[in-house]
Amino acid sequence: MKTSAKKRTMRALGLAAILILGLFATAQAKVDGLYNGANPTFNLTAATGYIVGGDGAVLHIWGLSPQGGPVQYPAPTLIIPQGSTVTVNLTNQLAEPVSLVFPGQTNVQATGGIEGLVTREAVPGGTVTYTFTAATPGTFMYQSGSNMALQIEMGLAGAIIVRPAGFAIPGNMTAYGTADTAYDQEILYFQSEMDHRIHEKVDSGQASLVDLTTWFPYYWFYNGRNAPDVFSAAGVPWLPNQPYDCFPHLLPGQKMLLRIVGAGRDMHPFHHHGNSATLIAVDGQVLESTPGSNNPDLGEVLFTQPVLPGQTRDVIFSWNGNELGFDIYGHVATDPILEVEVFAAATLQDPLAETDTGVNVAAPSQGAFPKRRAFRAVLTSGLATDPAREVVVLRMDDPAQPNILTVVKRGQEGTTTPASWPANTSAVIGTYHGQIFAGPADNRFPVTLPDQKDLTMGAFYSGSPFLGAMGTLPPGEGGFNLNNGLAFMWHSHSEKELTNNNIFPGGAISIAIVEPFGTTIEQSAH
Amino acid sequence: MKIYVRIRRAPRPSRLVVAAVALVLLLAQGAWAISYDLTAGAFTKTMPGGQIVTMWGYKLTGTADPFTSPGPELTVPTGETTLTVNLTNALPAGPAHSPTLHDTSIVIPGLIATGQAPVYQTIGAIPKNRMTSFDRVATPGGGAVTYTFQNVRPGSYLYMSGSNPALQVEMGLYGPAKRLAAPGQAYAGVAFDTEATLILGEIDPAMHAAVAGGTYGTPVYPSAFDHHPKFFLVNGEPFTSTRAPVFVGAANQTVLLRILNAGLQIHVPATTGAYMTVVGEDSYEKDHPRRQLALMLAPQKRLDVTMTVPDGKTLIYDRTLDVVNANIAGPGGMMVFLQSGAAPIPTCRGDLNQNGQVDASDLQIFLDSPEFGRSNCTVSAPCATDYNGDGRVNMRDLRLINSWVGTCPAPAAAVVEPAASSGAPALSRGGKPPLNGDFDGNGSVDHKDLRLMLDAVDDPACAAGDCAADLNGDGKIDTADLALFKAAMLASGKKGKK
Repeated sequence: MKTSAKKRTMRALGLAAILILGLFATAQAKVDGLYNGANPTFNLTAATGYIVGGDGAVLHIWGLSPQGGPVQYPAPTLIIPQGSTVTVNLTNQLAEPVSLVFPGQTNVQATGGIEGLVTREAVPGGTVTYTFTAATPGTFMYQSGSNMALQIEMGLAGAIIVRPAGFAIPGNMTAYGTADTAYDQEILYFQSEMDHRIHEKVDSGQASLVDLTTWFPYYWFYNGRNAPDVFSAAGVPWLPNQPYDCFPHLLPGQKMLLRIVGAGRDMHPFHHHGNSATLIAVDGQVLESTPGSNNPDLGEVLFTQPVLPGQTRDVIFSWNGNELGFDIYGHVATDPILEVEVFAAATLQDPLAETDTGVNVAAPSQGAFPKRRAFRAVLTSGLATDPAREVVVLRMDDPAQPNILTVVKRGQEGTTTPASWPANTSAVIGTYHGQIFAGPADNRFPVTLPDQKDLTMGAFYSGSPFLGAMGTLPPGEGGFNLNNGLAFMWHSHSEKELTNNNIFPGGAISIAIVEPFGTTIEQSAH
Repeated sequence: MKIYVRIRRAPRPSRLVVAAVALVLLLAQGAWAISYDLTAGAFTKTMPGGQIVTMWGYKLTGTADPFTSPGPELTVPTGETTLTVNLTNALPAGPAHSPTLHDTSIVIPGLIATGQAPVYQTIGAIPKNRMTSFDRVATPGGGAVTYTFQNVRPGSYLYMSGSNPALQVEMGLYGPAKRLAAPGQAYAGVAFDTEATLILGEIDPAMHAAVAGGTYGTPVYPSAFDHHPKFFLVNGEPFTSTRAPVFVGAANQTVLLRILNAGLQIHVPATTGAYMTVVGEDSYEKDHPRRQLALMLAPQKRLDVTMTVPDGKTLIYDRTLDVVNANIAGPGGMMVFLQSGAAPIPTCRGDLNQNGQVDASDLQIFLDSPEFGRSNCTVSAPCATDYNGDGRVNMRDLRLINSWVGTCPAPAAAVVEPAASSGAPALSRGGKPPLNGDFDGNGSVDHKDLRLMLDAVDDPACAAGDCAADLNGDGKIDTADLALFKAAMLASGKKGKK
């Protein structure tokens, strides 16, 4: 291990730089990569290089460099419009033959080079050319087809993203060209591991001593970086050979597309804290009952994604704070109800009289409302010409009578003034959020937040449980959560993988931030 | 009423006898049980790099076949639902410190043997009754047990040792079994053109050396907890540059792959190109088949996968990258190529599994092949097993390959059809339905009669529509007659048992 004191110092400085630079950074949720338009040509060179582990270790790798650029770990993400004829020219600066395979692509042709076991290979100093048609949209992988156990371990693998026809940022962002594959933000999770002992042997010219049957990984990567390096912005100068970050951001109610690629040797249980999410495609194939429809009606709602080696998974995640048991948005009772908060609606059984202290909800929607928990709702006339809405706080006091909801508080939406029920009140629209913490004392339920001394802080805690609010923090705490969003760890649930060479925290850790409304989130460029 | 069929044979039956009789059983339709006689025994195998390891495997009892791992494929005919395995244990005796270690049994995950009875033992100093076998055991030195599995659904199965399985399965005691829903259909309506079985396994040479040296279960090698495999196998072989591809017929056909994991680790069968469609898992059909590039295959799992194999070679490999042979640099391990297009030139004509000789397994492949029964072979859609080139794969081709068993006819040599028999099978039926199939009149319906029957296929007398070999008297000798022959043989066998 080549961890020097100097390197450690640089790492410390790097972390400091994140904190300072970060205060001015824009939130990002984007996929970086090579984009050369329709029918692109990619000139890639296989070469050796070094990357930096999350613990400061210098690790020898074999990677691919885009024309004129530094060698990359992982190989560059190729972003390709659907229907393109793609040309990849691979030049080999390694000491052994190398090749590339493109699983899931059609009409792959190899020319030049020499005949190899799986496909044509570039000899050291030579070049081989691959062409294929990116016929269908989706998330794919490309990897070495030569001496695979060693070369893929060394780093010769990358992601391919094929944009569906008609794709546009912004305006028409879909994974597979259909409405149910649409998303607002996207992020790549390219997962790999490393047994640095193999890399050290290769680096010191002892490749012949490598026994790959004794492989035992010590480092786990998302997009080529270990935690905490995943939080540094893409392309930071101190990680020249690891240009991709892994730091997803989204707004409440938005759909985030996770493009997950298993490039290593082990299966990793990828867990997205905060909510379950819908698996819509595997290996670039939509989970559909009608072949070719790209309509993910067979999508699976999962809380953890078992990411197989050689597999890609497209997953749509969303978060709106439902069912937390408290109001993450810190509303006062009469704040307007946000679209993302709405969870259920029902018509009223009886006309509402001004003296009524409860509402009678018609079946079958009555079961959708929470039991014994106050929640905000609006009562509405449902008439387009009479949009007046009254905000109420309702509570089902007797679960045996789920249709009777007691009115706890009332007021016209957007004001603090109780008003008359809207004329012809006929419907109720509810949110899941329960206790209301914020606002004037007479407008809030009594809640006592834990004493600061009873809390364990983290770099991503804003000091407040409310979205967009900042609380007091002890000195040295926080700082990674610039807009005071909510942080969820998205990580491997093989917990030993949350380490860098046996030191926690590190490895396969990332943090997703649910940003407050109004935050600008930078999108993918292509 | 259940009828259990025992394969009867002469005291020292030839390989051909067993093969031929077993094959007839495979062909038959109806509520018959299929029976296989398996013997477990030890053999040695030379690994890449020259290391010789002791293996355990199976062979068909009474044959001169070598022990192999995986063992012979057990095929349950489409119309049958009961599989009987008569297991004989020819393994060496267990070590003194653990005398029951080499007791063995057969289990088939997904099927339950009638009368299954786990074996419990107190082992070592720990006063605790522990299960050492999932079912009744056959003891080394010729002990025998019969296992009957009923309600065999269509699908792919893994048979394996149910005794000390962490040890015995790793040693090689496993093999594939299968049943089709209908000819050419994996499950009802799930059609394929050709099929191949890929069974995954692992070898830790240190474990095998410990078993051979009697030190397994001692501090030298305490248990399978210390299993660190060095070789990774598909169909019992690690990949080497000389490994023959698995031929899957003409290009762009639908190939059914039965992929089974007999190893102790998770593997991920994957392709570098075409998609695989998962049509079945653990012998249950998938409602919504998924197209995938990488498959999750945990130990003991069974997947049925269809794939359109393009012209040329298609790699199936383990994406957990167990694609090396021990510490030897370069590719190896759990990789195999499927080859489609023009058939590779085999070493011998009729050597369908390319093991250098025409033998019982080639006959089995011949009969299992969807080509058997085709009558539309053409230059553009050829049939590899249409040996006489008449555009049909029929009884005459069966007779030819049957006549080559035990030899290695040169692929380029002219095909000489055996001369028509002038023996008893060609005799006139005389309008009677005697037709017990005992053509040679020796009192039993056996393999000799089968040979005679096949020889009569080309007899002019039979072509004229009146011969004893045409058991059903419909003017042709075909698979229907084979089925009748089987029934006659069964009746003869039952008589003989009394």
